[in-house]
Amino acid sequence: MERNSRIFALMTPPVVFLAVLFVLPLAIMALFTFRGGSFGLDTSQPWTLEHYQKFIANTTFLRVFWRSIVLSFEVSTLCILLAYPIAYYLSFHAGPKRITLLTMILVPAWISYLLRVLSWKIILGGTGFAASFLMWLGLVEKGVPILIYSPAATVITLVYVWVPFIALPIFAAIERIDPSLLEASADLGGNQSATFLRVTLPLSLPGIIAGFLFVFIPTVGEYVTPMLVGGPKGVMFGNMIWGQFMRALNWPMGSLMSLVMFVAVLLPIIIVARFVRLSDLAGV
Amino acid sequence: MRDVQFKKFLSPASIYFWIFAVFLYFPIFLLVILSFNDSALLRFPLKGFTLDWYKTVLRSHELVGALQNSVVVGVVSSVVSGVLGTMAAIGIVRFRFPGRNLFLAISALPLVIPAIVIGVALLILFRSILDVDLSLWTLGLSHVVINIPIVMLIVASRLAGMDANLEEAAMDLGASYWTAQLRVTLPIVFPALIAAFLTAFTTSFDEYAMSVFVVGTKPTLPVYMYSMLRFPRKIPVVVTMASIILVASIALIFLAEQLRRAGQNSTSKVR
Amino acid sequence: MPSTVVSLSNVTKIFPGFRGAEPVLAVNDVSLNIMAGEFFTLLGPSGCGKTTTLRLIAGFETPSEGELLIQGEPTLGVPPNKRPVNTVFQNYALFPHLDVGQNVGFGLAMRKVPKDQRQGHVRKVLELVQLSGMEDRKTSQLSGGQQQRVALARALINEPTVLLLDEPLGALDLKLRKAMQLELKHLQEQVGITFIYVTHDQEEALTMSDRIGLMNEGHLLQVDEPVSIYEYPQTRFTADFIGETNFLSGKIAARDGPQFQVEVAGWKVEAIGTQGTVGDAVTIAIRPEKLSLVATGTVDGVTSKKARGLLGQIQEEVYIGTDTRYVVRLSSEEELVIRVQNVGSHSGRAFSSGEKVQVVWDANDARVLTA
Repeated sequence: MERNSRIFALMTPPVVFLAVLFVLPLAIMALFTFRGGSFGLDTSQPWTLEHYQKFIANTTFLRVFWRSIVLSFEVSTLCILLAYPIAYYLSFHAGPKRITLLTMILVPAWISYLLRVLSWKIILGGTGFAASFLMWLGLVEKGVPILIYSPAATVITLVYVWVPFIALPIFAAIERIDPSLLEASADLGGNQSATFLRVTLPLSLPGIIAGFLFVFIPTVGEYVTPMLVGGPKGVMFGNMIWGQFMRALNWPMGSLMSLVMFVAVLLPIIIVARFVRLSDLAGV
Repeated sequence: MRDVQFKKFLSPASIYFWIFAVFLYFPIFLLVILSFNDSALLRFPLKGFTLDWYKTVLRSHELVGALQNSVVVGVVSSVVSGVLGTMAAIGIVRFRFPGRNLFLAISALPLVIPAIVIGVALLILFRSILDVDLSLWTLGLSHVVINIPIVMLIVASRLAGMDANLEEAAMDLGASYWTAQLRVTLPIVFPALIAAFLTAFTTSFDEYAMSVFVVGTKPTLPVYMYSMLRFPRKIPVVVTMASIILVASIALIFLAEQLRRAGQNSTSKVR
Repeated sequence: MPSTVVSLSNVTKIFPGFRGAEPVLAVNDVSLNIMAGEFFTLLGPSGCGKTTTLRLIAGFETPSEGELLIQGEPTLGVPPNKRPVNTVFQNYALFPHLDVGQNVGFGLAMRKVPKDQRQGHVRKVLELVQLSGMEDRKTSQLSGGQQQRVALARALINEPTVLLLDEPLGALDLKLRKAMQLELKHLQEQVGITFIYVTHDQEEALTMSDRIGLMNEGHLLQVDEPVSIYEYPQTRFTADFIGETNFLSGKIAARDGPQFQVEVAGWKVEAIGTQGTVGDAVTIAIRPEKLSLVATGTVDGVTSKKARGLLGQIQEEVYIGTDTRYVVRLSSEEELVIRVQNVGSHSGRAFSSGEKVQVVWDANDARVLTA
């Protein structure tokens, strides 16, 4: 009895808060997608599927949505490819300084996202740093925008933003590998690359998957970076949602797109959650 | 011996690491350097050294106002999420109850789903359902939502590493459950509380993607800075502001790390 | 006339199973009266329920069934901080963020005893556990033995009616443990508080206790003084857990009150017991040190005062310094372990492997077991 009153006292405020300010809004947003009209909660409007129909019919929406998924996939994969050697180096070659070096890599990750995107905007811009540098070297003509306002710029910037974040889970996964397994592999005749491919890589897979999802999911919802460096060709799904709320003022449609994004992002999480118990990840 | 170390230093993995590190820090340094550049345009080669931009920053009322808003929202939302997150952490770590795993899953979601989705959902809640004006209050509430999981994770991790017997010992010696939390549990996890607060603050301070939807007429710093980016002449001011924030962030992060490590070492389970 | 200070009546504790696991019956219908001022030990293997029983008394768990009284008062609904009971935890549970003095004085601080009074009490109790002057030390700076004393001091300062000790010496090395056993015993006699001690180490229990309660799988098997529990074990488990025992299976051939004649391995041997009728299949328990070896041929089984012996062949002979340990195989294929003290002329080499011998004992040393 005592125990129950304690649980109640501890858990009620956070539960209520999240229920009202997180679960409830998401549920309302989902409901919104069935309201007719454009401006939001217009109770005179009937329930309708018109937004769903319009969404599915709109090839631009679908195309951009798919492109956003693909781009997120590219960013996540590049991040893994770039970060893995870092984690590997730190774990196997860095020796006692590894934690210090890891922290050194992680520090930029915690600095303002906006500012790091800004720095790339400056570097990549038309009269920006990279362009003027190359002009100074005499390599290019005046005013050639290097990559800015393109999907490539978005990819580069996002990779820059996320790569330090990925180093940590991969590093942790590699560190957790029992060293005697590596010794066993060598003992049984495996050379460096065989040990890597058959032991280290598979065993660090949980870290890779965690890192991948950690980047993939927020990137699907990206709109700030595309707005700053993506240009018209680099529009992502997030930009379209933003547009529905800030320009077109079609909240139900915006809600629907947001819901689509939410579900798209939830699927990989659920799949992974089947294999990993959340409490294990959190370490509690 | 030195030979081996030198070889290690030059190994491909090591070279890659250092190139990577340079690549990581270069844009940041660039911003700092450019803040001293005597020119409205950010191009190479650099012009003279100047402190003018810093003076402009400090004199701008709007900017100082936005900074103030960010600090207030940051502190308040960090305290609120700190309290709620710590309560949840204690509940999750010390007790088993039906719905525990469901709560863990749901409370972790704000961290994982794109900020825009949360921003949109809250905008609908505030404007369509509740019909309240957007303000720093609505912004603050949204920041608490994304910070609760962060606080929970940090505090829960520290809590799990603490000897559960200590609470029992306190109660055995005459403390009520709540006194035991106040006199024993909280002091022991204190470094984690500080780290959680600082992390929540940094997250709130930097938040833009979600904030844009629920901020009212009074901007926070990221919102204000972004609005200035549309004017090329104002970009150096933004850059300068950015440099200041960058240096301050790095300092805060180191502080949080030191505190977290200090807590980890001194009070882990006996035996 | 010593009074009952803690009494358990048919106490049962069931832990619910989580995620499809079976519920655990940790304490099963235990009834027990502990007297004021005694050193009582709950003894048993891991998982037998002794720690759970201790926690029930402390108030960290609530009984599923049955009644638990402390000083005659029911404890249902009384939280640990309101019971006249203090605990010394297995891993000491010293507060890492407080120094030694603050740890020891914690209970008094909870009762709002003013600071200067507290300091006086702290000083006195630290003297009692031989840690004078250590008030300002950090707990992490102390050795295992010192931490243990701080835990003890922290509990004793509150002058509890009952002190509970949960395997407090488990983490110490052998020599220190033996020294601490005697110290704890003296301390208890000095202070006069009832100690309820939990351990799985039977030697420790035999050394320190006024009475021992032996538990296995949630059941309380026997409550007795150390001598009685050792000499008169009532169950096979008890005989086996405490010290070393030989077991022989046989059938009751005759009975005269407490004296039994049991047919074992084709021979009739004598033992004493409390239960059993002629014809029952029973187990006899005899301690190795109570057995003697006699060379065949030297004893006339009928006329000697000792019980007729069992004929067997020595399989093994191990010299252990103070004793020699023999393993003798009987014609029934059962094996007996005999310990012979190395005294006098046959120090060490009285008998050798392969020799045929008679195993004899005094009838009063063999027990007929009831379970």
